[in-house]
Amino acid sequence: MKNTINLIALIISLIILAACSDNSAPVSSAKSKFAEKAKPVVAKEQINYQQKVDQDIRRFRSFFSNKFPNSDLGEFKDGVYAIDPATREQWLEIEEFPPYELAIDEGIEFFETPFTNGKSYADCFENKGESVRQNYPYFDIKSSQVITLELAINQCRESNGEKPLEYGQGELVAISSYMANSSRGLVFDIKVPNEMAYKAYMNGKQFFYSKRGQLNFSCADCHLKIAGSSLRADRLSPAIGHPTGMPVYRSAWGELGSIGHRYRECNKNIRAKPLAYQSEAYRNLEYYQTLMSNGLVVNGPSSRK
Amino acid sequence: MNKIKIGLLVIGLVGSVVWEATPYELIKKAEMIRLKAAEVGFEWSTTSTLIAEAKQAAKDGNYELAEKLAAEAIKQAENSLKQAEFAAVNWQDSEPK
Repeated sequence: MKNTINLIALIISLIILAACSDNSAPVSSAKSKFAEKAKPVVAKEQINYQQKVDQDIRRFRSFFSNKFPNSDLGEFKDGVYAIDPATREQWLEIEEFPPYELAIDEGIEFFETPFTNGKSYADCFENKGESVRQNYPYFDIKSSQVITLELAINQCRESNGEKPLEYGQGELVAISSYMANSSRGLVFDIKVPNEMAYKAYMNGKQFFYSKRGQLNFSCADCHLKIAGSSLRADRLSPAIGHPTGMPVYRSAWGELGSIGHRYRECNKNIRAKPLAYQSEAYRNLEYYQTLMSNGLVVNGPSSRK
Repeated sequence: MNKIKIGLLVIGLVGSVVWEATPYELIKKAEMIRLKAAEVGFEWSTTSTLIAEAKQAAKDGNYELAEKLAAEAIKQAENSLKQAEFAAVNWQDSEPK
């Protein structure tokens, strides 16, 4: 009996000893394993966010160039008419007497009408508001947000004691159309200056690729994956070049509308509750889309079916 | 017999109150989930329509319809939240490689 107890005690001691031996493994080998797995921490200032976005742009362009090999990169500014020769002919005929011409004339008049305090829109924008469309939207470092052209127009009004205009259509879009028209042919070169800008860009990118609405569609589903396919009587336009022709005169609207107006309409079509005009999500989406269209020229306002 | 009648009347009154409460509870639940979906930017346009229709049906005394519409609104609102959760994790799968 006594021998049995001693034997059991010995076995238990050996087990405990074995367990303690495992825990006292050489610290140096544990450290070196950690050192292998640890990656050098890159200071945030050293990360080139513009370079990261430029890689995305190249991949995006490459996708559309492969999908539509008969279209040059620069032609994507024309939307669906870059990939559909038949409708392109009809569109070019419409462009000879563009339906947005009156809106440009109205836009000039609104733009040049002074505010109550005597100042005007020209005082708010560099180069007096001419030839600046290609700089929008931009990431404002001071306020840490994306500023679209339409938002800038209303900020100008409010800073001069005027009430903001309604977004989407109407007077504000007429002003935007004049400013776009004055910038025709200039190249989009939007920047991603810092980490916050990159976050806004990624937020817009996430929106673009996220399925939403009862119909469970993302922007990418229609305008990337199945771009060029027919949806009822229309062909789905490629996402590259979407912002260049804004604001757009759509025959379905019978007037000009901003890119934000189009976003809301698209969301309604897929049974997603549209977000507010100039919401952070929509501004970030416009930032993402315009970055993907860097290198293309301003050709707004434009007309579409 | 009178006691039986009074008893049945009481049961009927209590039952009608309980019956009325159900669609309103469902409508309230649908509204709560709809708001959560709206907060994350994934509200469906169909949900608020269903809730409005449920409210109208309840107002008109058509509690069976109100309950049915509210239940559908809850289902759609829950699906929109699931959609948001899925998108948050999987959105990059659609990106061209």
